[in-house]
Amino acid sequence: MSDAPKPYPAVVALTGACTDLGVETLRRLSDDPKIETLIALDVSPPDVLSDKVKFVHLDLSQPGAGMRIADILDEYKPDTFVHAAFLSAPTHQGAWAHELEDIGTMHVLDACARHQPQQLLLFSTTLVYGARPDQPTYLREDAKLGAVTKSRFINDRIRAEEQVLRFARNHPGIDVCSLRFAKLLGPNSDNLFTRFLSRPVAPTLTGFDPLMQCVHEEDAIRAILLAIRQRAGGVFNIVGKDVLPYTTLLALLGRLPLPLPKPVAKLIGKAMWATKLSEVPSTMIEHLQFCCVADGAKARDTLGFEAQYDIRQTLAEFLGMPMEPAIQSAKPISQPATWMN
Amino acid sequence: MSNSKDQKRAKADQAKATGTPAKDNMADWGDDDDSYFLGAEAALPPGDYGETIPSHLPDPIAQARVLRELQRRVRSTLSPAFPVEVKRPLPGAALLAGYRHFALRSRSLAVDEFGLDPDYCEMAKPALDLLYRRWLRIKLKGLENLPTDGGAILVCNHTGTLPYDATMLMHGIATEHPLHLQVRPLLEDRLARKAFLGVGLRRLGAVRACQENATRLLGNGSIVAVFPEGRRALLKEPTSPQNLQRFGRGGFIRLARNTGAPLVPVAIVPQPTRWLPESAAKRLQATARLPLFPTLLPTLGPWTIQIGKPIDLSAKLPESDREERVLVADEAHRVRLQIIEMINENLTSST
Repeated sequence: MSDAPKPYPAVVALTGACTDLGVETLRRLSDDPKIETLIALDVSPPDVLSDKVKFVHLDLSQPGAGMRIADILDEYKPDTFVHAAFLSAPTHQGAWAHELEDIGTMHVLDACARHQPQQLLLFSTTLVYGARPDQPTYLREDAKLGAVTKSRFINDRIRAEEQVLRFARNHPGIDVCSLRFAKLLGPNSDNLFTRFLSRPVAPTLTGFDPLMQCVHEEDAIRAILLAIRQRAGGVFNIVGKDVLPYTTLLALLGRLPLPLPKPVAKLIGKAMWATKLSEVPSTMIEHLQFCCVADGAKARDTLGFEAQYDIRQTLAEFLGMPMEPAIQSAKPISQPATWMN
Repeated sequence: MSNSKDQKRAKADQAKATGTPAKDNMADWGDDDDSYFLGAEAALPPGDYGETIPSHLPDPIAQARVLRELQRRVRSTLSPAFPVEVKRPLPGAALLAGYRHFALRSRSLAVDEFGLDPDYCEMAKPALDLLYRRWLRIKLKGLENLPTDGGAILVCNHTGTLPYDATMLMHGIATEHPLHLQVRPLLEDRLARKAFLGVGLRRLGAVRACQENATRLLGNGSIVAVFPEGRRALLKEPTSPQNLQRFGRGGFIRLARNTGAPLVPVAIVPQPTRWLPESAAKRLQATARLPLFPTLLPTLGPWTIQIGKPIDLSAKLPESDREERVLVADEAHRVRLQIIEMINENLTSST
């Protein structure tokens, strides 16, 4: 880490331009006067009103995607390459998802190795740590990634993350940055968690009540912009303020908890996934059993990122209506040493 | 000034009078070129125009951002099925608020970073108090030894099978200490991952035992209680509580050395009994060759909890692995002996 400020990026390329975070990143970057060109790569043009944005068609799940990215990099020579082309929720087309996420990352890395942009930014998720009983409550960036998980959705993300970490080791000249976002919630987000929490009834596992952590989409965007502008390198957990138990979270959202024993929940989940009634595969059930909470200290100290929304405000924003003043003004307990009277 | 104005006015009057101004000017415009209509002549030719005059309008970029945000909000309210005016706050908002109030009755709106829930603690207080005063009749000694500024590590022996020792220590210090200090017991893995028990203890203030969690707690200035005997404590004979098991791998010594927190030995001394109910369970196990099973209620009181003098390890900084190993082994042994001594004292004084 050198102390001198790194040059500001002028040309930014972004895969997955139509994803929630991708399109918002493009919008914010197009407001930045120092950035000259934005290259939006996706299968359809993003909804951005700016003449800085150049849309280039790119399908990462196609075999020739690697050469196509190389051509694009050769033509525009971006300073920063943002890889955001990941699915927001599990899909039944597992093979296609694998091509898009795992192999798509490989294509991106191949092209980056050829043309060496100054920064490579990956949008990742804290789901890669996995929810296991044998890990510390607050997971730091150097924690082991979820070793064995049966979820293809998470596995693809882990594979992508591992490839990028290996790439970072082999290419010290490139600032490789991976932002691991906690559960993204907000008024405009549409992903696994928003869909899961939008149902009136939500399953819980009897006897288990893990701590949940989420991040507001606005905070996520701020973290992305910080990482791009500072040309940051390294892995960062991007998390919101405060945690809440899962059942409290459901109560705040007004969802009815449906307590099920784990084997039953697994069986029902499997059946609902197979019949496409549910959007969450039963293989992610351990996230309802054990905590998967990440420590945002490194992002605070190195990146200067501090979340502005705490979990209750995030939930209110997600719900789209203000909660009672008592809920909104509840303060996280920071020093529990002498709370009892 | 006035001259030029007059000239312009005169020209305009002329034009009105003749009625054919266009014909004269057509030649200047150029018949076959429509750049005039497209505004090309309005563009300034390149050149030096002196200083730029700052605009009195707000920053165009900020304006663009505001516009874009408005556009985004409008879009998010529009949906193909419902026009804007139909999508209003739900009529069920009051119902939702009512349900939320009902669902939140025994839980707080904010928990601390490890899941301690003050409302739940408040709810559990009468039950714990009953256990503390009536069933176990606990005598808490040596409260003045507890460091009040910053963190401390309480090293305790296990008593019984279910974690009554941890909850009683927590409850005792919270109620009897003048500062109402909150102790955070570290739970071993098997207990922390149990259904119901793990969650309940976490809401009361327990934390899964590992170096990272303990370091974070001590960094916040919390008091941490460790039970280094771990699960092996189940093998102890209830008739001789002074026979402590091995003290783990000395992780608590390493924790104290890394964080600089003082170690406080704590002896939790039950009444040695051959009867109800743990002793009976043990004998049943022995005779029927059953696996170990927990008894729901602990041995009947009175119990004594003795808090010893704090030990400060921050002065001892080993340099090599050898010195560290020696230090950890020595200190763990010393703390264990001290706890055994404290148990023996309390056993003899109570009989």
